[in-house]
Amino acid sequence: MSTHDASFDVIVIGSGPAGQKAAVQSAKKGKRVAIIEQDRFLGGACVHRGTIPSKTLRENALRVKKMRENASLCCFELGEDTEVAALLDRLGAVVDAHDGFLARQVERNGIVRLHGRAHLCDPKTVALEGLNGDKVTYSSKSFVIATGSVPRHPKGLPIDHENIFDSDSILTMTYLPPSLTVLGGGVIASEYASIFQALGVKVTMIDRYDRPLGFMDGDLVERFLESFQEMGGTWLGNKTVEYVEWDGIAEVVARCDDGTEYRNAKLLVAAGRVANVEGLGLENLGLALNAHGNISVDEQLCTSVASVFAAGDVIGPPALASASMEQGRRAACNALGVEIGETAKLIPAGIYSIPELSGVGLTEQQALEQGGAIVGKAGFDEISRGQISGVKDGLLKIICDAGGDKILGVQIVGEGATELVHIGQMAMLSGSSVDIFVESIFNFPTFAEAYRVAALSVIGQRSKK
Amino acid sequence: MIDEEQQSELLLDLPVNLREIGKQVLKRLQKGDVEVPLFPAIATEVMRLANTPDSSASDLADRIQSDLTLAGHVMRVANSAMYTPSASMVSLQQAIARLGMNLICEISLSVALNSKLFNAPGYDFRLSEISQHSFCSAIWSKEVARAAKANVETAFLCGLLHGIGKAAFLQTCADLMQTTGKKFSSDDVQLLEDALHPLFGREITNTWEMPEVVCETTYYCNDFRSSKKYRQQAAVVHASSLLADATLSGKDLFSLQAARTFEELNLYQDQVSVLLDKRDDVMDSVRAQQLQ
Repeated sequence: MSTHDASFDVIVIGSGPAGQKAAVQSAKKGKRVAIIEQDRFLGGACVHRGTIPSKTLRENALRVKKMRENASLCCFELGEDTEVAALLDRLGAVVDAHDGFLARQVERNGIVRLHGRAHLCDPKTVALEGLNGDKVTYSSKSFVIATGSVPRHPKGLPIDHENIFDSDSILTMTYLPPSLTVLGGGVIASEYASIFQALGVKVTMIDRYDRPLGFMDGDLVERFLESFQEMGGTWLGNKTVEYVEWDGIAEVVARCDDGTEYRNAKLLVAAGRVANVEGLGLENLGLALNAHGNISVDEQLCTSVASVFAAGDVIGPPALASASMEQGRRAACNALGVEIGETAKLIPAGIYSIPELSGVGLTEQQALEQGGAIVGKAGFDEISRGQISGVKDGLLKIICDAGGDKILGVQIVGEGATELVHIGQMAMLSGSSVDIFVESIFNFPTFAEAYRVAALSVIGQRSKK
Repeated sequence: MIDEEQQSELLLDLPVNLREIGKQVLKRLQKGDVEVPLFPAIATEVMRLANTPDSSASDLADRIQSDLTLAGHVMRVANSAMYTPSASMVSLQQAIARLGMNLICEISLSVALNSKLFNAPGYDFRLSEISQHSFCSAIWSKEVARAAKANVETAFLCGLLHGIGKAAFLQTCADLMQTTGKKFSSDDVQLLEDALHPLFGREITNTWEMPEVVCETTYYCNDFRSSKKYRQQAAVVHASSLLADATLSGKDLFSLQAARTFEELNLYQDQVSVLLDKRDDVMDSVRAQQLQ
């Protein structure tokens, strides 16, 4: 191992959303910064295997769905065995643009880019292992660990990335299979299940719980399931898959604990993600993982080692790219002793399924458990824009306190939900009463009208009390 | 195909005594007068499996997957306009899922009955070597693709078919030697094969309208950096071919640890070690194929 003479103020390990923001923030403060990435390209799983590719596929799935729904306008049929590459046609351009942007940003800010794997030796030193096995050590006053997450592989499921995929390898599929089993009922499972179903793949979703997306309100999930099943998908709740096997010819067999068997061309295991810490050398720093397998941090995003901070998926929930970016920025500021404001507590969650789901603040269930709530609802079928666009399966809920004034949360299902939720988020952040949605004028016709309808419902219930 | 200037350059790279036969081989290739021969034993085996009621579908699927010329022909027919007018199938699994095993069985039978059978006295062993190397490369391709996070199914087909030009070259060369009465040593034939098989591979995969990824990797497997669109897949096949060479010749695989191809695939040394440790599993698959 050779010792490099370079020393840094901050070394960031990982170049995903958290790492990138941590590095840029540190550089903006005039510090000497390096970013270590084990892949050849910057961006991490978010850009290359997760968020960006799956959303690109989703965009095309939506187009396909819309064209099918408008069969009277255009005679459309998606060819059998359509290559996934064709459905990710813009992905190369999107990823290249992102990669180019990140690379230029790193260069512009004078951040040293190091390609290799990081092994922390002690609280001030990291060894960088190159592809040829050579190791070089670098010292730094502080580190930000932003190594992200990897798919969880439940024991006994023979994930071969050929017929049985995880959420990282599913997009290496080169063609659309005729059928797909999705194991799981979480965000990733729901996103991929609905995207592939919209593309015409016959999807069977199996999970041990009675419904998917258990952290969302039941009526929103019902809408999601209705839409999924209307597209032809099958939801099988309360089933535990005990055995999975490739039949050696053309199908993957999934056998459940009740003896039922499901055979489809491919199978996706979407059993959540775990912190990517293998080989990082946390043991050299005396850093142990918590019960969930993540790195524990305090409010400052500092680990139990004063010079080592962590951000993003590696510290666990919410494990959203949006939150990771902010965590990365804050971790860097804290590492450098830069004063920053309070941490944003109100983080929206977005599920990029078809249809989208999004929420901010409390769910109806949580609000009721915390002392009562008045809930106003607006179905997209009541909104002119919903009728015009043919998007009728949407629902927007405003959850207010028991007095029907303070907004506690907004929950939405339907196209545009992940954008629409920000209106509610801003109202909540500004401490506005629910009345603001009635007193304000929005463009017409837009889905934002749903806020007015839901708010009127809250006000109506409030006045009856 | 290559133009006259490229052809002259290629021939000038050959030893003087091989230039004339090389020229004639290329002439046949230019005319499209090349065929991918099937081993008579393979054809017989397919007919037996297809006509034996108690043989399982997986037996036939395994048989097709383990022989490059049979797999090539089956994929050619399955990809033809008659069966899949708008698709370009990249694996046998896809073909079975799309067409069904009964149709694949019919296609295999038709291939076994209608393909040219290998007829090159003295070169049976070489064709057998090529077939074994292709299958071994295909098995390695799966492992390398898994490690490199590339598509495994496509890697298998590309690995299996990357030597298809060698089989076609061998038959063409043997035919020419028979016609002209000229004999060449096995070393000379090997020299010609090394120089010309990528052209044969490209001609065949293009004529058979194989998926673009198969055409490109077949041509660029020894020069993956020149592949513009499928550089990673070509590198996977290149690495797998190196591993197959070493596996089948009994060499120490760890001499390949530092191969640049693994760097191209962004594989770290411990990942390469894990990969190389799969040698016994790969050999088991190769032996199982030999027993079929």
